[in-house]
Amino acid sequence: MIEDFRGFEDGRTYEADICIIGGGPAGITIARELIGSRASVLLLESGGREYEDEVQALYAGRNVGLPYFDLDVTRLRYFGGSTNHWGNYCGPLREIDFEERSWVPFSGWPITLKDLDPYYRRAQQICALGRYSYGRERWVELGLDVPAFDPAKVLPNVRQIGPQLNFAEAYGPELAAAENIRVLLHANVVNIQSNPTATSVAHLDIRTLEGKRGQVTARQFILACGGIENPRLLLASNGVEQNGLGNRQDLVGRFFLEHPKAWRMALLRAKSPLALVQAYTDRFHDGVHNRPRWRLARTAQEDMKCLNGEWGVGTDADRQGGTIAARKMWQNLKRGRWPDDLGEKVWRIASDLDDVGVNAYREFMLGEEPIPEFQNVIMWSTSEQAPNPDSRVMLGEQRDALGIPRVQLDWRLTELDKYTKASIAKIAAAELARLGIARAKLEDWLLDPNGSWPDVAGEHHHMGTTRMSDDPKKGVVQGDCRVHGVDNLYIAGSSVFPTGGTVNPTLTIVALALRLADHLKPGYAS
Amino acid sequence: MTMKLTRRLLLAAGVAALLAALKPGRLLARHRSRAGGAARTPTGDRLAAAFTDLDAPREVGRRYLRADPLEASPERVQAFLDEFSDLGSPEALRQDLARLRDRDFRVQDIVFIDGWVLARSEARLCALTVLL
Repeated sequence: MIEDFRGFEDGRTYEADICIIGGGPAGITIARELIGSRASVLLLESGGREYEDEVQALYAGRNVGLPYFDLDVTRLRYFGGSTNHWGNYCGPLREIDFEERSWVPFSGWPITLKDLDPYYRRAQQICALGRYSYGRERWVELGLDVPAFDPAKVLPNVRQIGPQLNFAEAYGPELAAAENIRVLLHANVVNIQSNPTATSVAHLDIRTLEGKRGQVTARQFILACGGIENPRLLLASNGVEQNGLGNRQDLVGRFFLEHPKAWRMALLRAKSPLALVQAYTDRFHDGVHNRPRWRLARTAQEDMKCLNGEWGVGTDADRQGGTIAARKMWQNLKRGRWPDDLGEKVWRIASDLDDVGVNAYREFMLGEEPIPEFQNVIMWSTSEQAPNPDSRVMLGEQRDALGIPRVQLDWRLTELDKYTKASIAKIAAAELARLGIARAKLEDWLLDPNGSWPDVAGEHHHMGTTRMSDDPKKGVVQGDCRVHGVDNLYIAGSSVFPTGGTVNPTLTIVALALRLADHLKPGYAS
Repeated sequence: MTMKLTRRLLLAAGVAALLAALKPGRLLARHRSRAGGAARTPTGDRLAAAFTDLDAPREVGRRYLRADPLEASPERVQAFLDEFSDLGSPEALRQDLARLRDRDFRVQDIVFIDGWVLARSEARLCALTVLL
């Protein structure tokens, strides 16, 4: 059932076998997996079924490090979590991403790709994706010519882009119908109260924005609020241990990871720029869109002593141009939504009619992906971030409407991150030139050892802040996602990633959630 | 004033460098004669006339030599020329250049001229047009 905490009396205590904090993809996946088990499950969601300004404002915080997205924009706080606005770009981490690499400080998961692989395959279905296929064979399926790049350097890669999938809309009805699942909306956890020795969670204190209070007791608790909110709640739950729950080693909130993106690493010159760009546009196949790209091979990472990375080909097309405005408008209309800033979009389309016309022909008559008019072909890259204890989520001075300290994010990169970008650019440029596909002019900052990285950007991927390690001195959670030293508290979501690889995290979040559910199920077998 | 390396210039440099590769022995001879203060040779004049445009490869070559002056040493130039199997055959030279370029890119033996990524062999050929 799905209920609203605001409709219940004040001061009530709610009991469950398993309490899940957070109704995003991780929380919903775990709850769904427990349907039909003997466990009574209570899922607490801060928001309601729709976006609410005052709830979203609880996410506001300060960026004190590298420029980053506003913290109340980069995530969503209502049932479904950030699947309410995600793009469903998916891919699995690679084998090397799980390994300890001597040249990547703090690298290594306590689990391997082999451990996660069966869960990735199940997650693939949950995220409404196509076959579990992300490499060369996928390029062949897409009808793409695979350039003969040196496989010791770069390998074909694909990002599958599933349909817009709001987990609350897709899976909320199943939770609502399940006898052993209870979803409580507008139930904000304001404190995780541990026992006096901080070795287990005794109860949760919950509140509505209107001031209604309650408590939750459970045998097991799962924190599933995302890569920024998970550490925030642990740090703020400092009634017993001054540094916060599960934070005896001062690791909670540290190692904040993103996927540093460089939109423009190099200018590319090709005999046929349009053909080059076309090779990297989305292909609809197997029920999903597929975006081709390249990734660094293991040997290249080992030889260059760099992080994992991806690169692809794009253009410098005007993001404000008519074709992009028309596409956004069309996508909104298809979903039954009236576009935002309609007047501006219509104006942009009207003032760019020739390009809109060409691309409408390309899309609707030829069945090809539109390519807005561009001046230059460019190489972009996204890469793994080096784990860095100084890149961190902290509690700030200000408090939110519930009295919890607002979050402060200090996102930092290291020299290894910049070196990785330069390595990716050099490898890609050399391979493109070797095969006569294109010549590359690298951006100055990549070649200047002292040059600063301009326009550094993230991808709204918040990871690493309650990292996984079997060594309690190196991680907040152990391999089964249980918090070290706290026997009934688990963490789900990207905050447990010790390293982030290069792919969008949600498929891994869902896979880990499935694995955690499998870990818990035997205790509640029906 | 610093000359901006444009795409046209880069491509022209590549073509010119290939042409230069047709007569590397004479280029070296000329280099040696200039180093010794001798006058420009008839061979050098004929070679220069074979280029439709020497500006581009020379600009690339100058930049390369500025970044690595040791590349102008006769020993390095000779070592480079020794990598060609048959200096007298245009076809063999083309094949050798393709081989050298492939090798350079494979092992990341690359140079950056105004940000453009060149195989070292390409840059060395351009440097020869300066040393001519």
